[in-house]
Amino acid sequence: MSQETLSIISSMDSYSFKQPETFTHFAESRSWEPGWLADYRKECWDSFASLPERLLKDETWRFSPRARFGLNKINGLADPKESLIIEENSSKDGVSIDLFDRLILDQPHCLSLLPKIAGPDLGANDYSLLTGAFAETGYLLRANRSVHSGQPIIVKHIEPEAGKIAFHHSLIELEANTEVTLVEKFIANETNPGGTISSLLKVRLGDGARLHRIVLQQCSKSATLVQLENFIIGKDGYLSSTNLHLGCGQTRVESKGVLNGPGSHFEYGSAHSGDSNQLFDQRTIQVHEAPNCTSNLLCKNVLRNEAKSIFSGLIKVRKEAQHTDAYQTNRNLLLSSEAKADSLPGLEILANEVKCSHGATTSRIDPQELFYLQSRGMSLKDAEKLIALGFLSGPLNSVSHEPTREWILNSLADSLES
Amino acid sequence: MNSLKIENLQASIEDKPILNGLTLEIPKGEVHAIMGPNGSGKSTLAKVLAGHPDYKVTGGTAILDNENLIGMEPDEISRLGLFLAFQYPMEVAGVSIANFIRAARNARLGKDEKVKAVDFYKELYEHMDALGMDRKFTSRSLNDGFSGGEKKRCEILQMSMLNPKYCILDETDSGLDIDALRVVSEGVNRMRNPERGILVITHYQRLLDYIVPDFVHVMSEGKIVRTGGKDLALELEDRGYDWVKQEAVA
Repeated sequence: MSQETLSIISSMDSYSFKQPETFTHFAESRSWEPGWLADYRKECWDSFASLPERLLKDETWRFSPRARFGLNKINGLADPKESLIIEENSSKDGVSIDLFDRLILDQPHCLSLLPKIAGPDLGANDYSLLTGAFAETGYLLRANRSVHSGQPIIVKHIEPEAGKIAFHHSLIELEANTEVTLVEKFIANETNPGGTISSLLKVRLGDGARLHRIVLQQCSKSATLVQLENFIIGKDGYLSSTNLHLGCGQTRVESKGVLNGPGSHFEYGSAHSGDSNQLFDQRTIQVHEAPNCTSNLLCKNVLRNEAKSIFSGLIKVRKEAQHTDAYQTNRNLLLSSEAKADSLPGLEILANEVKCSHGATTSRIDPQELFYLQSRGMSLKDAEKLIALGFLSGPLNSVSHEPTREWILNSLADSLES
Repeated sequence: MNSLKIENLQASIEDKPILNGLTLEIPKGEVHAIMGPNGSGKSTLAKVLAGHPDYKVTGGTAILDNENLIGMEPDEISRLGLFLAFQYPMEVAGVSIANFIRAARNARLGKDEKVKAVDFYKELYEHMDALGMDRKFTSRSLNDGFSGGEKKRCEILQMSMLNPKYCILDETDSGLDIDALRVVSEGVNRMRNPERGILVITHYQRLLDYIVPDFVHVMSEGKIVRTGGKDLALELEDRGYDWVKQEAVA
């Protein structure tokens, strides 16, 4: 073996998350950080290191080829400066958004809520803990006073080069009666695609606060995304999260919405268009902790060729959460005989006065519908695209900011066109 | 050639023959009506001409101007200029009427051409106004939750916007009340011109009070068994279909 090959192997080894030195070296390089953050990183690392070996039968990964999310393809950390960007002019009166790494230096206390909110805890705890331990970037979005920011704030997560992983640890804290629209874009690496993003987002909404969040993911078809989020919604709060996933070879989404204060609402929409052998693995939970709350979830997937999707969703209603009104729907449209969609909807209800329903369907395009479109002059391919566009537009129509809704619907139409 | 000329057309579904040598010519500028009892093959004729994949054509031709439609894909037939107004229009969730018609119009243009939005909407609104359709309809999902009358108006709207050379209306009167029937018929009548041939398929004479045909054909067991003027429809209304069938056998 040549000297060069050896050095490559040893450099790869040095980034193996199986070795304690990986964390020790990292922690040393961040020795200037406040003690509480160092402690938190260490805690996360220790929890990660003591995670049991991956079980063969793990319900939280049911139907998922978990090896595709293996950490062994990682050989280093992405440059944090290049991996998360806040679009200029995003800060507005009463609303502030800043980068994690800048805040650690200037106002570390702003981030002190991070360790106090857990991840979604729906299976990808390895990624969640590693993000806690290694994140060097992320964003903090805060709104105080009664701001109602009309224009969306835009954050870009950039896919790192192949072999690298970007850990993004972010926090949104909206004080009472504020309203903010946030757009998060996940952008492809054009020059050397194939990196991994692990994004962990924690959100806390104060009483009556409203957050409209829109996610557009257009990473390369060889990228990996692990998108983890925990939304905690206070009394009379409103949170909508609308997601359009178009890229990535494999995506794991874990979304937890906690209706923590009475009268709150959680609206979750997800649309995914998958092609070739893309894998879209989505796990959600709507946790009703307080009475008189409503939640509505709609996840739709269109799958071509050998694309695969997994949806696993749970509505959990605690004993105190009387008069809950909760819905959960997963619909899949298969455009080839090789495409596959697995669906695991679930309810766990402890309160006795609730209205909950869930449903899952997987279907193919009705040939009569295709004939109808073709009889108007559209080719078979164009007819399929139009039906797919119509099918996926449902979850995206809930975006209330009209220019953003148009933009996201156009992004979907463009992607189906190409 | 300026006609839709169907000659000795034979077609079957799952090996069951439905059309048994049907011959009919619809020249441009004329309105023809086909009437006939249930199961005589009227709707099959409409679907076969539009290229429905479930039907197998076992013989004969259907020449639109100079081209034989038989064996063509439904979209090719549409782009050649044949329009079928469906008896039961399909619901297409999430696709608005405007986007649907725009996609159909774009399909008629070159690869990098697109209809201009401003001109398109101007034209669309004119046709909608004429059909008494609320402009809010443009953003509604195609036929999704529409009443019978709304669906049929929407078919006529598409027909007007796509400007076909030949129109086939398959039981357009079914499910319509008198007011809707009048509006839909007026929409069809506005499309009558020397450059267009129209075939109206109906079960009842009622529609032909509004869309007055030049010729009426009676279909039975997959063939045209009698042809006459518009009075033939009235006679059928009076006497039913049995005498035509009996005469045809004799």
